[in-house]
Amino acid sequence: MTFVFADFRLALRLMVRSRLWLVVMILSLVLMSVAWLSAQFSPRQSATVALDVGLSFIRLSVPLLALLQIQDLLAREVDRKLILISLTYPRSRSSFLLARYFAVVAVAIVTTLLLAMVLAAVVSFDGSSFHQATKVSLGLPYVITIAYLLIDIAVIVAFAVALASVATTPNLVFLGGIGFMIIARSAATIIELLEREHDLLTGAALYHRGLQWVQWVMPNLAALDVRPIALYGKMEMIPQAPWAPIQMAAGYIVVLLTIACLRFERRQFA
Amino acid sequence: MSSSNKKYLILLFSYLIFVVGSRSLSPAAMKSEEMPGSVVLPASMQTMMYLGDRYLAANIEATRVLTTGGPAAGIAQDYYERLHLAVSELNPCHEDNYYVANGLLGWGGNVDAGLQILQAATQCRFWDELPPFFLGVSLYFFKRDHLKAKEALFQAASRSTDNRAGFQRLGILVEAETYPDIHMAMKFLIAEREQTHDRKLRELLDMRIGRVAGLIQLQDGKVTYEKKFGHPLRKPDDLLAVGILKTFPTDPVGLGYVFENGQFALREVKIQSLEELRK
Repeated sequence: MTFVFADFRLALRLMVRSRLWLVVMILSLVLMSVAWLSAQFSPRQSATVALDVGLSFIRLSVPLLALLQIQDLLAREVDRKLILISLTYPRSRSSFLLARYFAVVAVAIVTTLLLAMVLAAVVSFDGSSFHQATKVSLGLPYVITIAYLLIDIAVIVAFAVALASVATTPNLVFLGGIGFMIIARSAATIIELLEREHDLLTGAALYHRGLQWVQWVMPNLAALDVRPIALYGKMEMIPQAPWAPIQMAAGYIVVLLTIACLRFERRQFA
Repeated sequence: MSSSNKKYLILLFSYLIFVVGSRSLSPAAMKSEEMPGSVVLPASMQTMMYLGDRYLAANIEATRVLTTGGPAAGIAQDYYERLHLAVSELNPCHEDNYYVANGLLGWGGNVDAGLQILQAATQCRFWDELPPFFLGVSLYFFKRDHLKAKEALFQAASRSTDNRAGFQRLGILVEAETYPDIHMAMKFLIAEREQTHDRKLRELLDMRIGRVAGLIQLQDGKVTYEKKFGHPLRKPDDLLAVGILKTFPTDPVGLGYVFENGQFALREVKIQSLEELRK
């Protein structure tokens, strides 16, 4: 157990040493300008648009940052043969892998919370100048939205760990992670929209059928995007079974990490 | 000449080549189309393009409506319709989308698309009184569907705290099929314009006010004619013949007015739907 904690601390220290704080600072500045600028384009609901676009930015940038960390802490370590030293300590390979997973998730959580606070400040500043009819909610609905977003990120990082446990080139982790993120987030939405676009796309039914099987292997990360509750301040807009997406994500994370541990335990490092 | 000097010379020379090349790019490659014909991807494709983020896609497309504006009528209508419908599918709750669509599509003559977006917004924004109110007004003014218009107006009344009585009264008037007070619609449009800070939206609302003002002029002329001669107006030209109107009012949107079943109304534009084009 002490080793797991030592591994966790070491991974955190490695990330801090790679000037993570500088990246997070730049991200907050970009987030501020993106949210503020997008609000200027909205005639009727500028605070809502600022919050909406800001959440999109966090939802995109934090997973990318986390994927780069996994690539650095696992894939590149294998690539540079540092792993041979890391694995000499008397503890299982799985605990090494899991410690690095939780370290990256912990950093992603801190980053997200920081960015969320920056965004809340920008939105409340914007909201103070123009009173729109439907107000945004930066209270409990916002907290819930961010919590769901963190679960979404944890799934993506778990996928990257599973990929890193077998990957022989470090870039695969980053690119494969992005691909997973896009498909898992968009598949359910695309299926839903295709049902209404039969007249617009030739062969919509074909795409529709082709995408159905995705739901058996991919989690529906769009279900973890509950931002309307914060955008319009209406808790009624939360999914009818709010626990279902969390359950789905938790199950999927355990599946991915188990696969990763199984593969990593038996891997040959030549 | 030392080798490092030579490298600086190469640097300078290649930069000059770059500048000359980039300055002499033919201007046609940089000129952007003034307006339509612009592509709007289906909502499902947009979800993919914006990395699985339908809300981001909705926001960016809603911004496109306001930034790539042109005249509200004509070919632009087709582009606006596709754009607004895509946003409505991506995020039917989008406030800017239903609001601007009501102005651009509904009042720009493309009534059916405007109604579709208002219906989606009424359903999604279950707390908001404005979409059902706009829906009721459009159903009454453009479709003359009194019953549905009343239902929408009563729905608006049930959601409202400040305008409850006003919406209900309008709903009852509409159901009784008395020609409603167009002046009331005019007052509403003017109040709406006063609340708007966005320049483009103001222009849009100005055009709408001009459009209704023209209708009021025709309607008032008709009432005067009927009082004076004691029989209903048969042809609009009679107003000019007896000198009640000097000229017909011009519609700033450019669509004009129609005279049907003894009533003046706003003209609709018909846009060919995709199904019709395929046939």
